[in-house]
Amino acid sequence: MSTTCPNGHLSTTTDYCDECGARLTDTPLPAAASAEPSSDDASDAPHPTAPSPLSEPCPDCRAPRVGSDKFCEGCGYDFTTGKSSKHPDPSPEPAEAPDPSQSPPPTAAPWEAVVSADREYFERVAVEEIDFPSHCPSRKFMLDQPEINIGRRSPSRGIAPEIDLSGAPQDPAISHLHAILVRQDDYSYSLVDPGSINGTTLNDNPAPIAPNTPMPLTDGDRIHLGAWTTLTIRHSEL
Amino acid sequence: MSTFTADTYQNEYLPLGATEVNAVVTVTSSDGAIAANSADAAEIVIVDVSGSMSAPRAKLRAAKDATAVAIDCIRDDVMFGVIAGSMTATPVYPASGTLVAASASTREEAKQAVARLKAADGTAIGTWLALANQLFSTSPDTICHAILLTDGQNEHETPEDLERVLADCEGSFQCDCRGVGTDWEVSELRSIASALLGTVDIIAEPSNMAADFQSMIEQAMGKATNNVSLRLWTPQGANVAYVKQVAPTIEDLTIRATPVDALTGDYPTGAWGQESRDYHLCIHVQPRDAGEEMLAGRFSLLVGEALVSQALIRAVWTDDEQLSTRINREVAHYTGQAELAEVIQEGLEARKSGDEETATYKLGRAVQLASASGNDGTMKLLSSVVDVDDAATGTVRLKRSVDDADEMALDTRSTKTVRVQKHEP
Repeated sequence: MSTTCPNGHLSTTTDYCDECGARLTDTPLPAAASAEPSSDDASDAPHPTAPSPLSEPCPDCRAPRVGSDKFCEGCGYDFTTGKSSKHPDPSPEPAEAPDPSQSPPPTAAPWEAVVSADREYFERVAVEEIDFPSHCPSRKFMLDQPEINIGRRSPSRGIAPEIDLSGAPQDPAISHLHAILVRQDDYSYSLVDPGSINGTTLNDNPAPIAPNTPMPLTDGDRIHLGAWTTLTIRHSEL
Repeated sequence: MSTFTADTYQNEYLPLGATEVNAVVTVTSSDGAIAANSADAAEIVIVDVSGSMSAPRAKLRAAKDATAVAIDCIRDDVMFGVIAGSMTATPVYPASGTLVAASASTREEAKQAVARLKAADGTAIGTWLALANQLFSTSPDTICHAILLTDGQNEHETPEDLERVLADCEGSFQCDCRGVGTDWEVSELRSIASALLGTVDIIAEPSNMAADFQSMIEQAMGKATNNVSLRLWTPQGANVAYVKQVAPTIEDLTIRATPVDALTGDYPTGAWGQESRDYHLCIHVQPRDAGEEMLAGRFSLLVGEALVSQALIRAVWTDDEQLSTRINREVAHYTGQAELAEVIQEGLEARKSGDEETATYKLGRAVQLASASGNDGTMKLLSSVVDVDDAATGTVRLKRSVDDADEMALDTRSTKTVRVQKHEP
């Protein structure tokens, strides 16, 4: 049997939610002598923790919640923990776009990845309720490490991918650690998806690549991830 | 099979905004029909016969004597064997490269074969462990235990070779390591023992060897339940800072985790007899509002894949400082014991490199911690390295001359902890 927790997770455990750890029973906390009654908190707290229907709009920015998404697409509000993106972790997630003047290292590596907003791919996957960004400059990353992580930076989880796609505009369907480029003996790269939530596709093939299976890349290959992001792999002429 | 219980000790109340949850979980196993069946146990004694064992000659003789004592401790019907190790590994008994059931006659034959051993050649410990692993694999479904007896540094194979063998052996047998004399590397032998969930110690006095072997084998044969692991679930957005066994000895298990799913990891603990072990868990979570509660960790004990016991680690945020500033005695105690092991190892390191100031400070702090927690064993070992002026403040003087064996004994046993005293203060 399963229970729904106050944060909307289906839990197979009945004492605490097996997803977020929220308490599932109404029994008072043991020895919680001077802890305040939780009913008072709920009325004062900015983010009610009472059971809420899944489609409830974000309490911060009123944007509708998509399915059981963990984060609000409008403002990044965390539906799981009830944490507002306005009061983020001590080290805030920076939303700065990489500075083009410093991203190319002094010595050019022969392989590079160009990140762009790809309308053709966007229309092909057609993720509901995500709009194509009106303005998204392409970004270029030199491939100069044996392993290059692609994802969105998360200081709270200690994820700092080399190819950080957290810059504005942000593609909300990209996982924090979405894919990895692994250098081969001949210095070309293979693509590995470590099990991202929404998967990774390659070129025109609509089927996501198998998780944890390296896919060799050649010049011109297009890696599609998220709702509209494409990385084009290039072998630059030296 | 034994009955397991798991109890949590923690202060679950956290100040607002706090993210670190600490808890000590005590796991106790009892009522096991002790190694119910001797046929379910296997024992291999690995004895170092590299060239250095013959200098001084007494070393090899002492090792042979100890091996003989170990063989005598093996109970009837236990599958056993003896391996001699140098550059390669040789099955000494039985020479056929299998294991045999212990009996009065096989034990006698084994001792005769050991007596004929001669020392020569180099040291490649990985090859010895690989052979032990191969021999154990001929006895599936048994509690496998090895004793590794060596005097030397692992000079004739690369650390990568050894690491690969250790990875192969992990989970298939446990190994207690004993260093003979004072020429071996404590950290190297400790890393082998840790990977194979065993203990490491020095046998300085050959005359003490027999007693130590006896207790090791008795302990290994006293295991009733094999393949016990602990499984830790943490909620979304949390991460496990560390999982450490803190009693009877300190073993950091954090890096031994095998992920089960995105929120759950398994940590191996090997075989259990009637015993009790304590674990210190530190979990970082996303803070919540006042009055809210979160399950920060679900600690499950598994035998194979069967759940045998469970303990909950909770977090409740409160603005009541009276609640959130309470210090849990168990957590504080083991935090101190972990620091004790650390300052001893750092202090001895500093002493070796001639940095007397750091050594005096670190070992002074060790004396203070050992004395305050009632760790008499460690206190005694410390007093062979420093002169204690005032234990309460940690005022010590380094001894001018220290016996190598005393220093190594302190280093190897620095991870031995005492349990928190259960009486109320």
